[in-house]
Amino acid sequence: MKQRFVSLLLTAALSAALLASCSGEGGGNAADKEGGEKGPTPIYIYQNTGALNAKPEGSVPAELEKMKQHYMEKLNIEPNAIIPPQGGDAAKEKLNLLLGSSDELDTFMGNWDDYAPKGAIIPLNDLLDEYGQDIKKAWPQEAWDYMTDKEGTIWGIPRGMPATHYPIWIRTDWLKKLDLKMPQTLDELEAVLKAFKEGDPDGNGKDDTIPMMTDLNGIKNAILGGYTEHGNSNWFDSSDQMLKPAELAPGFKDFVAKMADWYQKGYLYKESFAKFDALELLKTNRVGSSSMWYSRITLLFPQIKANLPEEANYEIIRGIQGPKGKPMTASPGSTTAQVITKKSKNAAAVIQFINDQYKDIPTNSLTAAFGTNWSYIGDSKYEVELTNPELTYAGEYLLSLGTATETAYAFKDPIKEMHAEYLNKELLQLDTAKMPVDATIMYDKVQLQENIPTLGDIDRLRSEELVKFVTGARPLSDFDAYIDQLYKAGLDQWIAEYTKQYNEKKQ
Amino acid sequence: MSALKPAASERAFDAVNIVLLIVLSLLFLIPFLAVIATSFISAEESMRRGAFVLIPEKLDLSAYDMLLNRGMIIYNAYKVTLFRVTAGTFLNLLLTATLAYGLARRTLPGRNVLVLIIFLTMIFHGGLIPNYMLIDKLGLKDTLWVLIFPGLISAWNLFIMRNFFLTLPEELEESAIIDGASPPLILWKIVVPLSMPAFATIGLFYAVHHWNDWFSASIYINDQSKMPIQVVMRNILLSGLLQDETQVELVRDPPPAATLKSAVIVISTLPIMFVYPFIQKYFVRGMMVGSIKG
Amino acid sequence: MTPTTHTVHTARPETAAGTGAARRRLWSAIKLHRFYYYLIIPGMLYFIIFDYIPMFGVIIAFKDISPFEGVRAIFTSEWVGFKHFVRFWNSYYFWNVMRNTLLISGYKLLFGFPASLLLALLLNEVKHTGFKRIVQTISYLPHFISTVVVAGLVMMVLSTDSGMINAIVVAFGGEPIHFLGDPKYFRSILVLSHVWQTIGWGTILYLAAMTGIDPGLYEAARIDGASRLRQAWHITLPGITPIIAILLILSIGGLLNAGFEKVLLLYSPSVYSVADIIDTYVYREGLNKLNYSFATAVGVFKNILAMILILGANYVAKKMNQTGIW
Repeated sequence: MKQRFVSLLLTAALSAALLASCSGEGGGNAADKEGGEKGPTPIYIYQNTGALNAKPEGSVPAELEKMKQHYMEKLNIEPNAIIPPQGGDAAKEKLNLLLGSSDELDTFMGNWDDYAPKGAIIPLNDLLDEYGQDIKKAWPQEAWDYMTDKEGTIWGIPRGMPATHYPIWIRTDWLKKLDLKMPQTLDELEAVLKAFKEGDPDGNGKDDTIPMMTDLNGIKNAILGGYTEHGNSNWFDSSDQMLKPAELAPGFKDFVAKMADWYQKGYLYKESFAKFDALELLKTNRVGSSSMWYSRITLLFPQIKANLPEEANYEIIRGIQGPKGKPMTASPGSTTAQVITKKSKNAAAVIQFINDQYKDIPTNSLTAAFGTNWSYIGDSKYEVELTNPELTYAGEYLLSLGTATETAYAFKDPIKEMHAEYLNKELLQLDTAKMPVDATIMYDKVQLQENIPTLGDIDRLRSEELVKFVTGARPLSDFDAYIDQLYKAGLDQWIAEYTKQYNEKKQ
Repeated sequence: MSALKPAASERAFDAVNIVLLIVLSLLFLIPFLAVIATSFISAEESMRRGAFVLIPEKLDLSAYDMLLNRGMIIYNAYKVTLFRVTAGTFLNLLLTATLAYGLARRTLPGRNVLVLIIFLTMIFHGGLIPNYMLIDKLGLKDTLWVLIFPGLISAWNLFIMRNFFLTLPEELEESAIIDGASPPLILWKIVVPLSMPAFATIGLFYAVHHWNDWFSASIYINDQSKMPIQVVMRNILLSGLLQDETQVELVRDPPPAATLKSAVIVISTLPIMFVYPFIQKYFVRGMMVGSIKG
Repeated sequence: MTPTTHTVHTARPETAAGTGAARRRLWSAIKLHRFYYYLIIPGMLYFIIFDYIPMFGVIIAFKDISPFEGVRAIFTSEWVGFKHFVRFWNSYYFWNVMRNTLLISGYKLLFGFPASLLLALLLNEVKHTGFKRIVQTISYLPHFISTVVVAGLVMMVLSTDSGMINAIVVAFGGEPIHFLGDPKYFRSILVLSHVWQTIGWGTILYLAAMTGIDPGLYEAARIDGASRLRQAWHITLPGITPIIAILLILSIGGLLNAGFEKVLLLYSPSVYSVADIIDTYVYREGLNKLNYSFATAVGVFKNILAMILILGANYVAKKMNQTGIW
């Protein structure tokens, strides 16, 4: 009997092993292909640049292989992409594990100031000089400034540069219908919102208009600048020589009061400060204006335009002024960069590979993004169209996504046109917004965390309480108590540390 | 008279019970039907009618066409999932049942210590880094076995299984021992047939876990051709969600449409839902007790 | 007097021989159970390799490292003691976050646990097997819908513009309520959607356990004229108490996990005060700061609390004459 049991166990194990070997073979082994010395140089890409957002299921395998062949023939480099998992911290977690293990990994996108102090990435000065001339040319100096530390070491390839993301968009057909003119001040805007609210511009006979859809970042970046001198920015208080958060700036309370008033009167969308689906909302033909991240309009509105009346259109309110000037605050550059790992065996090949995508902009970066599925219209090398509306290559090897390449072409496609227009004509118009006081300061994050242990708590307090004031969950008379609360949560340490670093780092 | 009264109240009870269960069923069913319906409408119709559609105007298969017809991403992912569900569940059950059976011996010396050792693993975990290093050292990374070995026994299922073995009547085995049966024979001839409901339940739990799990694959596997279906599904569903704005900045295109997302949900959940009805035949009342008597 | 000395006198040699005999008896007991040890070995090996070997990683909580520094850094970096624990305890929101975590998962247990049990009892009373199977199969559908989708459904159903619930509110002459942005409703939404998602799946174990109840008991009860409710109360429920007890103990250990992903997908600053749980707190901290040691420290803290809870629950179960885990 015992024997029979043992033999049962054995058969079980055996059949499981067999099953495994059957399914294991299909995968193929990348290591097998690396054989010969003269073969193409393999590079390993962690594809977390956002290139796959348009086609998250990834390329059709045959098309991906074709692109790989393309680079192997052209550059003698064999790109390999590792696709990060989505959701929560998973992508970052996997990246960190790959970095800490014996895995091959050459390049990824991340904040260089997180990784450089720990020795996880390498300086790029020499590599860029030798192999990356086209990358260098593509980005302006102010973009490189954000990639460079005090000693002049360049740690990454930029992705963005200072830009404006929060213009206020308004339904111009509704303005015309209600015989209103384009508002020039926030007061006039308020009058327009009131008219939208009461005038039933969509003509459905119901009091259901949403004069403005927005969110927390929206009111801070699109409107706050009208009420405080520096907008959504830390500011330097000359009375005591300290750098302070926007909440302490003169005028901030007026801003809060105004937003609370707008919310209470129904000018701001009721769900603005919770999660909501902007696409579904736009579809209802009830949204009069938007002060959210620009792509909520530029990407979403063209998609649902067919649902709205033919003349429906959103345009940017230009030159609008608040009591303290321009309402919009620009986004400073960031330290987000394409970086090369310390353990990379083929750093030169990586730069060569990326440089190729920056060469002959936008031709090569377009190919990196869409494979061969695109063509120029005319010979200006600017307008492009997809030759087949369905993408088969998703962009696994695209490492040149960023302001420098994305603003160099426009899609001739009614759905994509508005977005391209914005990127090419509006994004970099910095004079339409206020630039944060400390825009060029790269704070030492380790020091911030070390010296302000409650940094995260203060962040939560700032967003949570602002929302409460605006939505009326907390009366405005409590505002001074709120400031006390901030101090109780450690604002003194916050101000001291930020001031210290600000003074050290400004030129 | 007195015989009729309980019958009437019984019928009332049955009626209320059935109505209640029907209402509950609708509550569970409708969202799912909406997802299925949405997967069958065209992108244009979904744009026009919103995300919650119960009856499509026109059947449109383009979402399925896109997911199933071009390339083999989904097929391949299915194969991987199928492998881990079958091989994984088999090994899970084998190891869980043997360990649970051993630990269910009331007379086994040291069994409390062993149970404690296992219990502690439910609470203390080393965290991701050491696990990753271990998997790396064992040579499991980027193989399909990594989807099976690190989760061979769930302590939770183990305790439930052991609890089940503990409720088996002791007299059964005692009488078998008196008849001169050896422990392996008792296990094979008496315990295993009696435990079919437990095996079915725990097996179902393991199988569903294997079907639903995405985390281990997303961390331990780099090769896209070894990704199970759930990883592919999550990547599509979560694309564009939960990212900080600097990431969304230059997205080339809007995230995938509701139709495509719904089709992904249907493809990745429907098959496993058909497993349960097959397992139900093991849940017949009295099966166990009946066999004791027989 | 004499008897006592007598016993002491004779007891001595007996205990000496007793330990020897006990050892021999233990040895023969082990030998007798040989077969069961063979069965246990592979499973125990699994736990030692895959759970105990990596457990040294807990020391990260007492160091200051980032995961990308690799495994060597775990050993070579310097100790920082309880720094990360203290930081968490001193956080401005520590009590708020603890309260939210315990309340959300406490409510989930309070409502979700009996809900499944009740549904199992109702299903058990259905005589028509076809109907029973269909309802059963439908009831576990939500279990297969991933959290992302459930969160999407919740947002859709509760929307102030197109949501069904608000349509009903408006139909009865009310103002549309912004459920997800209102601290009054947020927890209830989490708990309700949790119950919806888990109630059917939770019945499986109970229904399986009910198959073990002797039909003869029901037969006898019916002859005695006991109503169906009484039968459920006096036969079915006692028949499945062992499984109820063990499930309850195991669930109590999970009280500090309040469902990270769903909260993350649904919450916003306006409901932080009732929705921010330990896991979302750590997520936000880690997002900006690659703070792995901090996250591990909070994890260890959670584990210790969970262990205390489970030990307590197990103790209570034993006191009440139920089978505990050990």
